Amino acid sequence: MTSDVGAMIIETLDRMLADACTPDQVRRWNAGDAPDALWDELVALGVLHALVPEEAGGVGLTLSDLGELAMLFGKHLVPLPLADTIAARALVAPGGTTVDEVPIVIVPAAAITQGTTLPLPLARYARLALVDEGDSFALVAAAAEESVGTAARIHLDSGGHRTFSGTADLLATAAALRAAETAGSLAAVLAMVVGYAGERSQFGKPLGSFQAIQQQIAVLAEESAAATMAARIAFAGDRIDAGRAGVAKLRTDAAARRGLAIAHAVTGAIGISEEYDLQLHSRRLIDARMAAGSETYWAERIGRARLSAPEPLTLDHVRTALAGR
Amino acid sequence: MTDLPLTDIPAEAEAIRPKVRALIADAVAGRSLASRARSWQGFDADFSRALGKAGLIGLTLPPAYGGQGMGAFARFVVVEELLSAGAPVAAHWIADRQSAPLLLKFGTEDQRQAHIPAICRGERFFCIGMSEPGSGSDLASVRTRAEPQADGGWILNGAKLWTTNAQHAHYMIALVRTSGSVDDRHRGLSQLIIDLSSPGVSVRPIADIAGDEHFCEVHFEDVRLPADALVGAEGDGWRQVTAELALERSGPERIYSSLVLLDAWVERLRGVELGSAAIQALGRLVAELAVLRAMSISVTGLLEAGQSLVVEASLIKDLGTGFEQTVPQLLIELGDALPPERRDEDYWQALRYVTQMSPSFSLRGGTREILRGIIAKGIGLK
Repeated sequence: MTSDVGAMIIETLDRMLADACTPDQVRRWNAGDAPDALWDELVALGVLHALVPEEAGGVGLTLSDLGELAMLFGKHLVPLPLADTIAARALVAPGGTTVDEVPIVIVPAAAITQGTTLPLPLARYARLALVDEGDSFALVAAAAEESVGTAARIHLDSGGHRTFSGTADLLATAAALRAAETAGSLAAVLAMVVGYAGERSQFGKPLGSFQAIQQQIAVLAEESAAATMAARIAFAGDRIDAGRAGVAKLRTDAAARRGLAIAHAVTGAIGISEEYDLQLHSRRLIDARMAAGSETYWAERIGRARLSAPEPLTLDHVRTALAGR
Repeated sequence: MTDLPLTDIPAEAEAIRPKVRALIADAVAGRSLASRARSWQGFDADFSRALGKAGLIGLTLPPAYGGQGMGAFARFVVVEELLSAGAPVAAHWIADRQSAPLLLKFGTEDQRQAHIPAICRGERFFCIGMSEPGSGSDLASVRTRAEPQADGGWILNGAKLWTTNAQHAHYMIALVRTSGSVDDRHRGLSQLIIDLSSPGVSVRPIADIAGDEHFCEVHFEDVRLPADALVGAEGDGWRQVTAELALERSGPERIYSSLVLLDAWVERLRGVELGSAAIQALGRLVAELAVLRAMSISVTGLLEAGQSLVVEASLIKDLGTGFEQTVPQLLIELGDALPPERRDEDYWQALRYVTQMSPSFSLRGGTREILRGIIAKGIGLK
């Protein structure tokens, strides 16, 4: 459940991001204009310290609030690794240690501290990368090498790297964040498609009045609702674990796969045009599916976890390992 | 759409799980897998009476009527325990889930006293008369008709079809026309309680694809019903039926029908060298179950808080029954890689049964297409 402070901040950010992330602006960011003004505004609001406890000068939000925030960032197409930055800062500086207020991207690959990464969603404007060093973390300088929209391969330079004690499953963390952004984005896609089906007429009546179309959009609505719940599961406990995060990533990826196919079927040719806003979400959703573990990767891990769990009942495995608390 | 928050089952509801599980374990011990795989189609009047005696029927109903006065989450826990064990719950299932809550909400004090305590004891079984020979998904077209009589009673003529467990039930609550004509559609429909031992009622079981007889046709020929057969107001039947549906569509029974089979499969896979296809299929099923269960728990909480969630209940049922249908299909697709000495006739019978019956998962309680139509309207398409 969202905390009261969390709900308030989400409401404020929802309005602020709706104003800031207009489709035209998102296009400019995708084309290479750095979102510096947006970043400054977010820094001024204190969003970066969302998970830092209040007594350490932060906002004191909960892990489940982070899930809701990441959904919001997906909904509004925030062009920065903002959820990554919040999560990374909470990991390396839980007490509010001084870390530059720059975008940080989480690199889920094992132990890369130097060299070029695979393409990462939202990495284009990252200045630092959080990498896993086994029994500690490091923040290393990051610079985009090849970008497509907001995704980029980044070059990591461990020259000036800082090491921080602590461990966390960075793959699971990235999977959970991508899952939440996907859920938020899919909800926006649903609203867009419902709107389109109401406005666009063929054979003398709105598309949305044809049963064949209604039945498909209903499935999109189901997938969107399932994605939202799946994402929430990833942020349920005290920390992100691979079991819940894997369920979230697998289910939201499947929802994006099925849901986007429907969104594009309903919107037809204009849906794959640059001028129509659906592509802004489609591209992000595809980026997220290609990152932080595929459906198959997580399905294999979840399947193995079930087989090695001693419970005879799958219900008990779900209750203990994959439920709310 | 209403946002579904992640919701925990409250501790007091969780607290009853061990007791329920122990009772069920005794009841299902010795039953074959194929029998347990029948899930909520399994009929056993003795088991229902034992559950009633243990206070596990009518959990949410007021103690004044023999219920336990507990919350919806307690019922959720009991239902998921019953279903994941494959307990034979068909005898009391409909009465507990739908008939008693309906009578509590719309019935007279006499009707409540006459039926709810007996339902809670697990002694009185109900069926629901909806479909007819000419009315399936188009429920508003029902033709079974009750004519009002001078003494306030009714004379009933017509037929109900595909009525689950009518051959075992004591009473039916039927949606029938009490005024107007078929052209009046939703207007003029009412819900009536019919004593199935009344003269003029004939019940004929219909064999199903698996060789069971779980549904029936029921004919009414000049059946005389008393004035107090009417539930709620004359002409309000459609509204009352619609209110029942959210209760019926979002529960674990729309998700767990293939769980006994899934668990049997998992046990068979243990200790066997497996290819990725089986492991990944299992992973996908577990993930889907985790998400569906969380959605169902969330809706349980919101329904208890008094929200109306017709769209959300519909989408959970559509997704949930899809999951139920995927389980047996996947198990057949994957085949059995086990060595001959591990082959097990009971498992194959269970798999065959669930696969044969799986089309019913997305028919009973509203077809997939009807549900998607409800969802589409709910999100603003018209």
